[in-house]
Amino acid sequence: MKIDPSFIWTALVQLLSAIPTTLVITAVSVTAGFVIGLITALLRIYKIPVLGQIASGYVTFIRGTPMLTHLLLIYFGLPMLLDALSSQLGWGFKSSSIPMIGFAFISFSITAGAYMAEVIRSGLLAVNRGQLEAAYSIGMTTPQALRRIIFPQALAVSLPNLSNSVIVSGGQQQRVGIARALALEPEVTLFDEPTSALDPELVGEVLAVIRKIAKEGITMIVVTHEMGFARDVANHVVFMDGGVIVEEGTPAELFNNPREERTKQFLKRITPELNYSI
Amino acid sequence: MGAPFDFTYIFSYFPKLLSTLGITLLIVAGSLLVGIILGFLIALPRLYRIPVVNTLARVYVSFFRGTPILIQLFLFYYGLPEILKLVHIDISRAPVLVFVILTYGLHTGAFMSETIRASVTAVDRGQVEAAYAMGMKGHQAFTRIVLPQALAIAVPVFSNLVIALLKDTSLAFTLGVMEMTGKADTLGSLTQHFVEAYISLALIYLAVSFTLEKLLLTLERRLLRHEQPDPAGQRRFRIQRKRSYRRMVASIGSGKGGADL
Repeated sequence: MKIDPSFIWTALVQLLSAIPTTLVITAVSVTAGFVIGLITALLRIYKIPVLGQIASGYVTFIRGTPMLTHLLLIYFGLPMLLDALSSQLGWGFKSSSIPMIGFAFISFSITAGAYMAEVIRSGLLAVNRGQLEAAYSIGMTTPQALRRIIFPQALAVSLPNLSNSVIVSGGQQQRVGIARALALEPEVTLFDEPTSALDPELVGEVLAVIRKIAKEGITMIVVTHEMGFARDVANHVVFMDGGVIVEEGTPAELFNNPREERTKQFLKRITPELNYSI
Repeated sequence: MGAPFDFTYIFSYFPKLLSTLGITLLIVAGSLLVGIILGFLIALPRLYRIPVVNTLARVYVSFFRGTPILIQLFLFYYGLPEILKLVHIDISRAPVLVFVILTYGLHTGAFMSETIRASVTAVDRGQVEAAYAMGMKGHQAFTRIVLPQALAIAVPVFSNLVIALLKDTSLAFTLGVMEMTGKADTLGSLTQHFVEAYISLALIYLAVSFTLEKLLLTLERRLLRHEQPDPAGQRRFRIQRKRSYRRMVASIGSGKGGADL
């Protein structure tokens, strides 16, 4: 046997004619594998009594054994099983009528299913569990919550290339968050330090957004360290220290002539310029 | 097809198959050794972008990642002696196992180099610059700053690679190596009890890969015992907050397939 380069081309043409078969097997096993994987992943996540354990065993078995074994087991085992069943139940089914490619479809789908189940499960588990509860609490149904909250995030983990998540700046993220919250048309919006962790320029952007919302007359409760902002926007200001309300009132009262000693002390340190205002 | 199903055969095959477990593990260990050394050698030119070697390394990696291991086995077993004959080296007498370990080693090396490269590049370049600014030497910056962080990323991927390698070695029987799958195949044809042979084969593979996975997990815990992701990092990679998630993500990443990153 000697190497003859010219034969490579002859073989190449012959092999190209088999490409459709390979592609069909791939397409079928990926599609079927996705369905199997989704079902398996959901069974495992929701911890359905018996089926969940079967699903988990299936994934462990497939992931722990070589693909070749699955192929061989299906090729030799499936006809045996089907023949035994059909002779018992009198189906009159002959396993020899299964085309060869059928075994390939079945065994590769089963293998792909187990691997996909792990991918899907890790994607779903990566989503913070509280988010689903939050979605329920604002009145989303399960399909809505899955479609709007869970799947986009799961997709970002499982298939990073497909998800359209763009890295945005902190200020943009915060504004997107506010827009999302307002899209639900809430009666009251709560902000917990919306501008902490932002750099000074972005603080301005976010505060401008909140000011705009305040003008539209949406009720907001804002926890903030931005004293100038609080004085401009708020109708009612509450000053807290150590978890206790020290003083409350309108911004004019509280910022210009505070009654309590603690408030005076705080204002002197945080906003010295206020001492010079009229 | 074959004789009727009989449970007792499954158990009677166990000792027979286990007698060849050594060969399977030998292939795994041998090719891991070759793979780790090769992986480092291949990853270095790609990390430091050494002109010509970099391109060669890329071709090598994309060849081994982009073609099935079965084809690689055939190519090396039948092709290598022919090519070496042209330069008057006769290795056609060498045992099959050498070719098998060589092929699996080259295959693992390609994956290993990608793992090493990916985990080293995952460490922020700015940290190395900061280390230099602090007056650290090149090797100090590598061993103290880059390596611990790269290791944390690489170790879970490495464990998956080992498991994948164990499962891939089942293909070596196509060259006539008497490892576990080959033995099961022979036993099946001898007694016509194919299904029993393959069930017992699958169970042994399952047990071995399960044990290996647990061992590697222990090793991983031990290696990463100082690893406490910083709060900012935690926030950015929420997925890594739980170790189990990180393992799963690693398993997605390593997998087989993909011609190039």
